[in-house]
Amino acid sequence: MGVYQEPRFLYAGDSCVFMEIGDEISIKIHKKVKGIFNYLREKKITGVKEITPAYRSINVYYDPLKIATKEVISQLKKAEKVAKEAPTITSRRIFIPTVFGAEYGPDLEDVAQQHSLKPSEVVDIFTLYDYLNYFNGFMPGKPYLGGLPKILETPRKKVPRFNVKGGAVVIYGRQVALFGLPEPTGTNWIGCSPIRVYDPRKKEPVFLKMGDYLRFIPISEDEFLRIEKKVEEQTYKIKTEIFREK
Amino acid sequence: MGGLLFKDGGYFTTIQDLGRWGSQSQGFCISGAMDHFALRVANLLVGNSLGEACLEMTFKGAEIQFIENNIISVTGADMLPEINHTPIQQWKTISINSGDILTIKSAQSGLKTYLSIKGGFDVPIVLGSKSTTPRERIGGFKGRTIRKGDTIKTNNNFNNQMEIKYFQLKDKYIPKYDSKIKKVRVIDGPYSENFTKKGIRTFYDSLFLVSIDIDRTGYRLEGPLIEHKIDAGRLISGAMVTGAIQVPGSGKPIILTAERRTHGGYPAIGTIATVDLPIIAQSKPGDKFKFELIDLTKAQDLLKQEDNFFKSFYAYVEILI
Repeated sequence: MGVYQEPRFLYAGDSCVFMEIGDEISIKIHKKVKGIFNYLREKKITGVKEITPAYRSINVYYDPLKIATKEVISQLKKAEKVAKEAPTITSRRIFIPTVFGAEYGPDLEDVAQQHSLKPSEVVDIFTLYDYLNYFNGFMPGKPYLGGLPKILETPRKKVPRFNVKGGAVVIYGRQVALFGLPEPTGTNWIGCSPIRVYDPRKKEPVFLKMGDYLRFIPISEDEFLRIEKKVEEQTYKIKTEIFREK
Repeated sequence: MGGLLFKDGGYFTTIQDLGRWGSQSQGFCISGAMDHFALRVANLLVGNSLGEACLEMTFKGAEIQFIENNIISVTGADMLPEINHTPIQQWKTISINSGDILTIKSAQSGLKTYLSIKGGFDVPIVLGSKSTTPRERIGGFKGRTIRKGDTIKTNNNFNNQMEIKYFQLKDKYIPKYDSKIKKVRVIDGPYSENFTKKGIRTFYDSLFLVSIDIDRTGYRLEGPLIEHKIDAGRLISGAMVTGAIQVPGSGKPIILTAERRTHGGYPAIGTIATVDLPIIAQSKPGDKFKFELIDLTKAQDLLKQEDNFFKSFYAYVEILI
């Protein structure tokens, strides 16, 4: 388990290559992915349409009429050797105000029961930790957050929920997500935040960045409504601070 | 400056170009035309650049009144277009007079029809593209499908009628959409090692039926169940590509289409060659696919052939007076 000796290359159709560098979700692999991703993005290789990161891979979408697949792979191999691990010193810690339970988090009771905890204890544990945004994806602004403590590890629901609200805070396995838009999902919906990780009205519609740490702060329903109104009027300022990794 | 007034929006009509590249790492999907071939031909017939945005209509077309004179072309699925109740041909440059009404009916064969306008639609370019993604509420016309009563501006950047050339794509180059069993070429993987030999054999030896559950995000197929190796139904979430044929735990394949998510967690048994994606776009529930394995070199050679077709496009058209 961990980082592969040599990266593994997978063809994803005739115009995309995945470079896999490990076989697990870990901060070590994340840092390596981030380093390679940043290195390649700055390089601007002719014929490459787009590069995306994931937990353990860097994915290159290219135009095979402009660049040979072999060349894409050799560029990736080089990047894997040359790119330094992403600097670890600073990133943002972002505070996400969240109401938990009841209609704001209909699966909280069920999650608590699965772990023989009280709902309030689930919230206490959940809000104690920082969750790392490994990358954005799936839908606009949605972070892939990791770091849920083992005690809250919860399988996906057997029957997916038809729709969760935008702002839904969900857990699945040892992962956490914050939804930008309403979406059907099989994840466990425990809370709801009035902040919008995706706001198409804004010039930069996506708020979170790869490498951000999120801390969820429990708030009351009244506070939720007050913040929601400010968000609607675009006057709410999300609290962030500099975060130094240990 | 011209414009189109929609008397009827059709069943599902959006503005699409060749997609929104460069924002997947923020979570935006690629979107864009489902049938890149028909879109590009429509553009070349009116003298636009290959990737200009067109109207994409699904199943049933729109009824449009033109505010100014225009040059248009209709390609893709045959939807029996008419101007002022007189039938017009598809895959052809057509001139439109101010006040004309273009009625596009329902698909006779195929599923998606494209309308190009000389100069293109005057809609904002969002993150590098005019493509509409209704789920993300961005692109095209107000980030949504077009409805009755909408007016969309066009860029009429031609002044001199004499400069307009009229073309018709030669019949033998017009794709036929009516065969019930369609051969679709695929490249192995990514993650086909998560299936048993039997599962892979099932995939290549069987016919798969297009279900009623199809849209711009994905096409669900019906057929014999594809067998995974034990516990190989889910991977660590990774990147996705359009045309990937994912098989979730149910064993029923799903083809990812234009508005697929950026990332996901199911293994793909194969990925459709880019040149064959228009076949998927033009398929209807009840059609059948037979998948055929090809290698990467072959798939890229096919793309080269397609590129040559567009490079010498005017050799494949009749020039009209």
